[in-house]
Amino acid sequence: MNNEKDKWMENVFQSMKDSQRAKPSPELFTKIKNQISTAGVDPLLQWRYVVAAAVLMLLINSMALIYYIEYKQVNDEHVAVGRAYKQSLINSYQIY
Amino acid sequence: MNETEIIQALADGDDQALVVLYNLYSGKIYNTALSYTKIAEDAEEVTQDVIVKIYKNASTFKGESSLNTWIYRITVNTSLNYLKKKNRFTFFKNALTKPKPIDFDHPGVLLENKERAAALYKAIDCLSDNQKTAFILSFIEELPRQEVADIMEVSLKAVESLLQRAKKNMRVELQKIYLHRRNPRKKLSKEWR
Repeated sequence: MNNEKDKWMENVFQSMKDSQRAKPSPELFTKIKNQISTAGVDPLLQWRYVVAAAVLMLLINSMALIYYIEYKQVNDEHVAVGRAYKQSLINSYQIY
Repeated sequence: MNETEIIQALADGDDQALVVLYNLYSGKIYNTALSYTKIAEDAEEVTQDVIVKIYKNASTFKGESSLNTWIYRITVNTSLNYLKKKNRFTFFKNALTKPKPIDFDHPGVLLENKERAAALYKAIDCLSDNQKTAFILSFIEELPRQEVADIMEVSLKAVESLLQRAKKNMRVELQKIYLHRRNPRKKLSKEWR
């Protein structure tokens, strides 16, 4: 039985010998040509634009945030100075 | 047109070179892809992908290996990636069921070899990627061992060792198929059902 099994296995290993080559469908070449002609835009280039746009948006937002914080600080200082000035004025004239 | 001329013409975007490339290599690419995917439509998709890759990357071909070796290398990598992608998708589609091995009926096999060839392809399924590649290129594509080594970018010794291990693993699977053949009532192991 072992001999029979070994022989069968050997035949299995050799079963593709002298087999014919399979052929793709005749439309395949047209499909390839179409894909090549429509794939003019490099996808990597598209990604570069997306990344550049994202970086630009991030920069603009960061700048806006920095200006806002700086403006708020200056504004707070002005308010504080204004309050102190008002208080000193009130104290000098002793209105109340 | 020789290899260098084909590649140069492809890099220049010559349509005639694409026709030459297709006529010379589509059969090799398609048959290799078919050995991996075992589905004609999938093999065509891989072939399409490989030829487009060659066309786009023709300018990067340095000529360190032959054009044949370079094309086979792209075909093997594209086929393996295609299978990985497909298996991943199948996994998400149905996480509970393992993809069943396909009963592959190669269109070019002689009638008297059909059953044995189907068993061969079933056994190939149990191999690791490297063993599978060494086996397909050596025994199905019938390439010389040195060319297989060049395609896989390993030594000749490594190819021999991969083939030995591949055959050993396949014998285990073939034994199951052989026993099932002799006694069809006996159930095959889970993975073959």
